[in-house]
Amino acid sequence: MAASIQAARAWLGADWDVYWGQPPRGVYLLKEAYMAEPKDGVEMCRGVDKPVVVYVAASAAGLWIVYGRVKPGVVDCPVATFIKEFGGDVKKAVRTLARFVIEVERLPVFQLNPEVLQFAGMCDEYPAVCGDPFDVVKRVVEEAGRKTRRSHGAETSHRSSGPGLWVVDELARLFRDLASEDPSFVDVLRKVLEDPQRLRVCYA
Amino acid sequence: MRDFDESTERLLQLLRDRCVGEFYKLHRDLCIAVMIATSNIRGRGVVLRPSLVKLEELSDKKAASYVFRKIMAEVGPVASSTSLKHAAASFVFKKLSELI
Repeated sequence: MAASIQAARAWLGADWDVYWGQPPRGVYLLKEAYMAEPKDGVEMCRGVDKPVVVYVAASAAGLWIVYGRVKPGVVDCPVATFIKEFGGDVKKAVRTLARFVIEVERLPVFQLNPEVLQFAGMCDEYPAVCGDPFDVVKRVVEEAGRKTRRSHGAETSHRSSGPGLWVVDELARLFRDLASEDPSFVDVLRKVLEDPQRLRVCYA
Repeated sequence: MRDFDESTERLLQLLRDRCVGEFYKLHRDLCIAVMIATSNIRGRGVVLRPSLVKLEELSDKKAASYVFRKIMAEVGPVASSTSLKHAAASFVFKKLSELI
């Protein structure tokens, strides 16, 4: 879904200027793989109601950061570019564009260019986009391992919550298994319940 | 045509390889979304249904219906395979940012 001029204007606000024409040269917020070639829109740009190709460009620290769904080049559709100067605040510029991409364009975060995020110092906000895939998976697996160990630890401490009480849990598990395999064993257990002290006579 | 850039594709494949045993049990929703994102589904009008991925246990089906609800909210009940896979990958990235 490409942003209409009205939607872009409404979200960006009045402090953004807009002009008809291509965006300034700069780095692109989206990964190249998710941007269309200008020639891909030839058919779409032939009709009477030509769509408007919208670019949003933010300038910070002497660099233009540009968002657009179409790679720069000659297109037969009208092109509108929104621009704003962010001074030296690269992070604010990139964050604004990233929010526009996610909230207005509803594009997934993995389409964001990690190099731009890194340049803006925003990798802590998008760790899965910036990180090396192998490292990201390693971190998730390690976290899962820690979680499993914690839950096993909690189980163990629960079981040994009294001196020798683990044996009660083991007996319960054993009796449950025996009763499910042989229903007549339930009668044996019922007799134990009626007079548990008999166990002492039998086994002590 | 590829659905994802190289880095995203690699991340999804690495996760898919990890989605077995304990890891799968701990992160069923993440793994089911990975399965959808890396599936061989192709076409323009794909109907979202649990049989798109192979599920065995009841807990898988519960997790899958949650994932499908989330994807449906993004792309609707019928979508192109690319939009479907992108929405599934988007779910994966949201889960990853919660986990790391």
